Amino acid sequence: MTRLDFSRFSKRLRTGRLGPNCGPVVTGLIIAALAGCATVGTPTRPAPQPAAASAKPVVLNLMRDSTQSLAAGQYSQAALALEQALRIEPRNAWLWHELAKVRVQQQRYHQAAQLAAKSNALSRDRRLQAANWLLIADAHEGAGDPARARTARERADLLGN
Amino acid sequence: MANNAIQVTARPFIFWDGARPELPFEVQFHGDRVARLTRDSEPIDLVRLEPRLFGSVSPIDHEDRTLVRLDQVPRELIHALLTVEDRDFYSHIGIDPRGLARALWANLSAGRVVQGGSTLTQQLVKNFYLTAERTFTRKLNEMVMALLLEIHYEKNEILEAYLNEVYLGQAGSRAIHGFGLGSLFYFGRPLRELKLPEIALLVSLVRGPSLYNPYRHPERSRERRDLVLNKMSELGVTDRQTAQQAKMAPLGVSSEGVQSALAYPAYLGFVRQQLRQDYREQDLRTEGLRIFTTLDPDVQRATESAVRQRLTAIERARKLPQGTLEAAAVVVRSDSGEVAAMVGARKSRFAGFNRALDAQRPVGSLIKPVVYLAALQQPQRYTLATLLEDAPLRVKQAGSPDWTPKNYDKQFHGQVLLIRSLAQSYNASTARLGMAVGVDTVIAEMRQLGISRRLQPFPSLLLGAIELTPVEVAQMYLTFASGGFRTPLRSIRSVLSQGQQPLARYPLSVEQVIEPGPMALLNYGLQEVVRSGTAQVLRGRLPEGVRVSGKTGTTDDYRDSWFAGYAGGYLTVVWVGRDDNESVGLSGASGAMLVWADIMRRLDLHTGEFPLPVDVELVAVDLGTGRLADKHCEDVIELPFIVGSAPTERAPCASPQINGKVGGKVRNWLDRLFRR
Repeated sequence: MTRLDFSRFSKRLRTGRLGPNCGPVVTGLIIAALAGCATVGTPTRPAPQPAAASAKPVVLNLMRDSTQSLAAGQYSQAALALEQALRIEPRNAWLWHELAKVRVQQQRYHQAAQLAAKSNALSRDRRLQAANWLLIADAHEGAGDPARARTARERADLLGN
Repeated sequence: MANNAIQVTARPFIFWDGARPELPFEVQFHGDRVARLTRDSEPIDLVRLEPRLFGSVSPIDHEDRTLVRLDQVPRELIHALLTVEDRDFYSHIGIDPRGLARALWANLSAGRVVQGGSTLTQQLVKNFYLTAERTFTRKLNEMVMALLLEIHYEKNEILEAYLNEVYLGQAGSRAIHGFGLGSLFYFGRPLRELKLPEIALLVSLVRGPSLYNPYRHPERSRERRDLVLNKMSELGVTDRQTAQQAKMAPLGVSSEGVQSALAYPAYLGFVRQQLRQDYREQDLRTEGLRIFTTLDPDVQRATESAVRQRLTAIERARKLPQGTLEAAAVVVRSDSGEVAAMVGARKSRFAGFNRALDAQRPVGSLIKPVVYLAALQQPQRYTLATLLEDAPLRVKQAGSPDWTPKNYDKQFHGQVLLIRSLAQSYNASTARLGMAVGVDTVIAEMRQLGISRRLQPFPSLLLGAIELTPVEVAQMYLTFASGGFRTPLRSIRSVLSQGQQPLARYPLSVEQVIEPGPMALLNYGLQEVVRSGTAQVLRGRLPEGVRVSGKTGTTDDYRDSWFAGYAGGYLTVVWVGRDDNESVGLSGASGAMLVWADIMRRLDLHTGEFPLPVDVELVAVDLGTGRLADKHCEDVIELPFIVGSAPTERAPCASPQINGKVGGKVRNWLDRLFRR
């Protein structure tokens, strides 16, 4: 994955200038942090930075579109934008992660876990990996498999911090 | 065109995810590349162009037909047709005495049949049932049947049947029947989108599709079209000015090279198969569905020309009879499983036997990676550095002669590293490995990878004595190419109903079937095939920095030449051989691999590889013994190992001590202690 400077995006995220559009991103992060708390009691977890997601403006824009659609509850539109982005950057681990998030919302838990695993296979970024394991935990939980959810959460904790 | 920029207006179009209105924009070029897209001077980063129509599938029989209903046919077309072919259609009884009298007079004076005078009904009968001989008996038969047809059917039913049956041209071996297909074939657009001059051209073809062929005889075709327009204006079915304007228009047929309507028969065959498999029959029975595919016309064109040119070159270089080699190729986007291109024949534009989909051929060594994968999934037993025995063996098979695999170079190589055995494609050592792992385990592995056909557990399967189609091979290798995630091959992106509602979508779906560790090891082995093994010739044939993984496949007596390989986001599988199954004298590397390289060279390859998983480490080992190497060893190879599976014994060439002080084991212990 190409790593470039995405300070622009992250600055907007930090200062909240993305407005309501970044709702689901933020919500996702909060859920992730809470999930972390539940198991090990660490107060906060450094949030993954979607800001580092791509070098290509077109991909970033598609990610933003997807985030907006997700916020509006238009899950299939959100997924379509990400699939479009994946056609441009098929090896971008962040895009696979985002798609996994959408699938959790769609309650397609099995696919969600698989997509998060694909994201993990493409990245050595520990924070992204931790976020993926948390997604996998959410997916198992959604699918009614608390034991596997717990294991996944432990993997996330091993990677976090 | 100014400043190397062009103004473009994208027509409004309904995509699977919604409508896109008309979109004017500007494209600026830098050299031969697009530098910038702007709209009203504002930069835009993505424009979706209207997709090109390249085929049609009849909802009823899934044949390549575009049936039209009468109410979908432009009024102008009906007017034009009746004007020139059968003015009294709605009043006659199937034959037209006046028209007939005219024709009869002409024929009697000539002493033979020179003029038709046939009604549409008669023409339909002719198209349906009868031969093309021109005799009075046939003419009589035709008239009787036309009369009968008129008794049994309404005028409109007859007209509709005519519109769908009439012969309008020839695409290679395929006849173009019906105005729906004709419209696609000549203009690449559906009938309802045609304008008057195009309609007139189609109607003019009724009289003689080859006589008035717009490609071969543009002048004659134009005259005939204008004649149709003149007659329409004379009879007042269109006003004079409109007809005059239409006559100014160019012929407007799509250029022959991009006659997209029927351009990709192999790909269309695959789409048809997937429709049948994955959609409900009743959904497909409605008409006017729009099927969006994953075909990439550029990749398709590159694949077609690579196949065509390379086969000719091989035949010439090897003094093979020209035109005897056949081929199939499948190009897939590695991470999504989207099929970008498919070629089912050397003459790819001709419909016929689709080798990509239907040719079942022995796969030979293409199967070997499955055997090695089954082994590498047991890291405590097998690593890339495990020594295998490449020596004669004899295996009893129930119901067939003993199996005694030999190597292609007719030698045995003694003790070889597992990775070397894979890279050099040694048969004896692979067979021994497969027997140790178990034939059933290998078959189970193939299932995981996406092969669903029933397989008999004969040991000879281990060396590829099984028949698969190129598409099946692509499905199997796709799992390797996508990092161990089984992803169904797909050619359909979406289907829209006539009401422009998406029927059902093929979402991207993946399934991890190989753990990252073993997958990384196998991938390394398949790269070694290119670095030092049977596909070495590939080195330097692709751009720098693109890592290639692949495997050659050759079958007995050199009947089949295969190559399956992936790089830069694409997986491509190529088969070369003969339809009559005679030997072609080509190994995988001297046939299919060359085609493969020609295809891949023309693609826009991505960079970006799977990183080594966290539980995999690189360790240097001695090539001869597979044990730990150091700087004193000469033949060293650095190999990935799943953590905890790397060799611990030192190779004879390595010095027994490191740093002259601490022995290996102690050093390892200290390393672990201090996490160095």
